[in-house]
Amino acid sequence: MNLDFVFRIAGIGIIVTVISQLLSRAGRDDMAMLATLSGLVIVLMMVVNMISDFFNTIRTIFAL
Amino acid sequence: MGTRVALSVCVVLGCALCGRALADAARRRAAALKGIAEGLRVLKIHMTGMLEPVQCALLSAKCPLFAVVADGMGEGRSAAEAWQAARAPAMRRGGPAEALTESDARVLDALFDRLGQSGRAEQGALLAGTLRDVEALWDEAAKRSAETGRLYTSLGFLIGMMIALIVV
Amino acid sequence: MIVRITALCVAVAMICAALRLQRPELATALSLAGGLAAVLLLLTEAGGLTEWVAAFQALMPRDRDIAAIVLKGAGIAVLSEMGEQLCADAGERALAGRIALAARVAMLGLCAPLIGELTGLIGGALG
Repeated sequence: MNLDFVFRIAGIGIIVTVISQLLSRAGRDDMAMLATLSGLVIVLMMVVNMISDFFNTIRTIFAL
Repeated sequence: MGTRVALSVCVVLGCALCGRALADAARRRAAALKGIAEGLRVLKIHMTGMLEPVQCALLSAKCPLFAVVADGMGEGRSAAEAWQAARAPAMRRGGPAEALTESDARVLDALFDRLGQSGRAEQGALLAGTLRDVEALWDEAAKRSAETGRLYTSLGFLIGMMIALIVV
Repeated sequence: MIVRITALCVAVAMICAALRLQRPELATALSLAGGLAAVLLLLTEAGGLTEWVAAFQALMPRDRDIAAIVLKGAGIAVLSEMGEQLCADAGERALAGRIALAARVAMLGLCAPLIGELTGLIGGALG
């Protein structure tokens, strides 16, 4: 199983945090909020596939 | 692996350059105000020191915006009339005052309205006052240009990294 | 496998600790991703888990239902524990409690036929 996926999500999370901090310090709090929300949506879209795989695996192995 | 790294670097650099280009407007405004301040210094020398007529002094100032006003004065108009005629085209895209804001233009309105309309001492005071105002605007524009440049370049770099992480 | 899972979880925990100060919602999403990756790694790479499940089912050839109930119970436990801990980490203890309640109800529903049989056996034994 490829674990790069998790570290990509971590990288995106860190980058979004830095972008949000930059924008807040530049006085653009609304853009910072938008950047955080966009980052969260991107990360959650990436995680949804993992959740789907997880539930399928659990269902298959434990016959739920 | 090598291709992926090269592609990531290209994406990151490309986005950083795009960010820098977005901040270009602020840099061009600062450069335009700097040119006008330098032109005003030369104009003051030619008008109050060498006592040249307004049109010749404007041409000698070696400022593109002043040259446009000087050309407009060739039809027998005053500096104020020539500036009012040249103001809108100069501030349009591609003009010498393209990057200036409305508040910058109002300082120039005040200058050209009274340029060549009074004695040497009053003209000297007018030019010195306008030079102070333009230098203050230039300082503010230079600071904003540096901040905006840094901000947009950093944002471009970070967004490039994000795109490289997601796509590459 | 255990080394990979431990390294993954420690790395994700450290990144989450840094992220949580500024963006707790992203830290929660990352924690979810890390947890899912660890469990998926465990379930798919644990040597012969599916063979073990098949062997366990084969041990009880007449009572395949019981084997299925035990396995389902294990699955419900894994799912509910993951969900509860994630919600608790995100500060939503009430939601974690709802997951625990749902898991207990699901287990009870699963064991209902067995409880019925057991009650019948006891009743028969007592007279």
